[in-house]
Amino acid sequence: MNSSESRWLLSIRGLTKNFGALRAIDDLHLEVDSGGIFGVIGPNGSGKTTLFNVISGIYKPAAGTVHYRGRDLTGLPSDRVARRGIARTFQNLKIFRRLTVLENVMGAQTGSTGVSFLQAAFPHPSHERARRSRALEILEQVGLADRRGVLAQELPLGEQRRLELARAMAREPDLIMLDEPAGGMTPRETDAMAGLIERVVADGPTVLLIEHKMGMVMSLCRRIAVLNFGRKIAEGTPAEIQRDGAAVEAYLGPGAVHA
Amino acid sequence: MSDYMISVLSLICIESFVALSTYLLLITGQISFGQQAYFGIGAFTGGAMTAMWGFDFSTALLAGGLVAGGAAAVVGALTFRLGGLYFAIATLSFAELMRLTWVNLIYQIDVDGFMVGPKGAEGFRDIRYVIDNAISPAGYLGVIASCLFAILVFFFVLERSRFGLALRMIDNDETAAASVGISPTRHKIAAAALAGAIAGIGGVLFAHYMTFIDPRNFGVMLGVHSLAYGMIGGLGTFFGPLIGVVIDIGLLESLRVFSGYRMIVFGSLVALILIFRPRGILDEKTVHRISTSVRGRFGRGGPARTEGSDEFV
Repeated sequence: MNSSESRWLLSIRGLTKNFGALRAIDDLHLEVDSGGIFGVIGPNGSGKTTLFNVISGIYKPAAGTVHYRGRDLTGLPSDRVARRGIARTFQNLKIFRRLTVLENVMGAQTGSTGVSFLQAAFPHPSHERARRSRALEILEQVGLADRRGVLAQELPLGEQRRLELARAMAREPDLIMLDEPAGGMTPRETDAMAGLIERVVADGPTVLLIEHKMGMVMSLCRRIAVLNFGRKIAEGTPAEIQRDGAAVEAYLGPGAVHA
Repeated sequence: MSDYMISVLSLICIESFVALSTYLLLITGQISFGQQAYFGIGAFTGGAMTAMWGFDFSTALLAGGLVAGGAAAVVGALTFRLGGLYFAIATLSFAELMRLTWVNLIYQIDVDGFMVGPKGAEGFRDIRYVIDNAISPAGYLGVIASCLFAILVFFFVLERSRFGLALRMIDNDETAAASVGISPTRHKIAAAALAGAIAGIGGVLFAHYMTFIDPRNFGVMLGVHSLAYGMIGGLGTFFGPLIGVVIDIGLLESLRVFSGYRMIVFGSLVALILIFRPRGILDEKTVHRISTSVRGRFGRGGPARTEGSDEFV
């Protein structure tokens, strides 16, 4: 293992992913430190979601590596990436529609480490009670506690997005990847979501955030990377990005800074 | 109880094993047309155990369940990487492969001066354990019903367990299930093994009920029906497939009114249900509504349901 890779929470080296003739990610390098919110922005089709899908093991990259806490997780299947402590939400919402809100969260909770498949599948009732109260705490945090018995498909979009966040939190992860958590939300819901993400980060995990709402990105993020055509064209603090010629030209546009 | 009633009830109970086997895969999001393969493996294994090799009935039940479950785990491990439709076709192919195996399997041994064992297309005769032990049809119905009850208890526990929840998560959204650390492959193989074992136990019961099994008992129609039972009765609870069995065998097959028209009525019923209630009579939404109102009535502080949105999505 290379020591420079173990310094970072997440270290991406020379990552490439093709879809047929389209190069969705092109020799991408990215390093993410522990703590705070790291933004990933860029125009539609610039490879942001593909990046998340490669990190979380949904896609296998054509080239390059992904290291997490210094360990290589390139090409691992999704469920094993998740068990390493990375949780995520989905841009196009993948909740468990025919399960209740509480089941969505409880199903995601981690098992105790070192137990067998059977023990994890049929746990002791006292563990189950502890799990349940932890799940209710998380639902309380995202404001869905009173909706716990409702089937997830009956929630409006804003609440479904918060449910996905709650499900990711239930993993007790070190890294949460949020793919447009405020997508399709009203300005008021967006502000509430931003506040919620800030509180989640205060509890410890690092957040990798894809979002098009620049006001939210600029106020939340400690650092931002800008992607275009699968390459990183700029990286820096929000103030640096807003002054960066390439970032403004490719995505932000002149005067978009105060959005 | 009349003999006819006993035979109808026996068949309903036996068919329920195949229906529940298919249902277990359905709630994992897997469509199998081929659970009759494991029903057949159980039937031939169980029949051979008692009629040829002289084991007692409970050992035969255990062996039938284990062999069928093991075969299902192997087939599952080989085929789950295939996506939806391809998996469905693979299950169908394996079931036909097994049926043709029975057609070609001739293996008879001398038991007290008689040749006993599978004889290809002529079938496997003289599985006489029930007769030799003077078990009455009503008594044997009791045996079948007890086994079915044990399987239902298993489903009751399963649907309240984390394992059962994980299966339903995979059915709801496999990518999302994997994103929260659930291995779809391991869970699907476990579900396939359990489903195979359930069908296998049903097969042992079937062989000893019939005393004579024949490759035609394990054809495609059985698989199609057992799939339809879950889809008619509903995928929200394990009572769903049982309702499907009762409607088909209890009403359509057993009532003389329908005699010649059984398949027409059954086919239309499947089509109508698929159009109007795609996840069956007792779908998840209905089951959720019932369990919420039951909990509310007994004051366990069940969560209040939201108003509106009662249409089916």
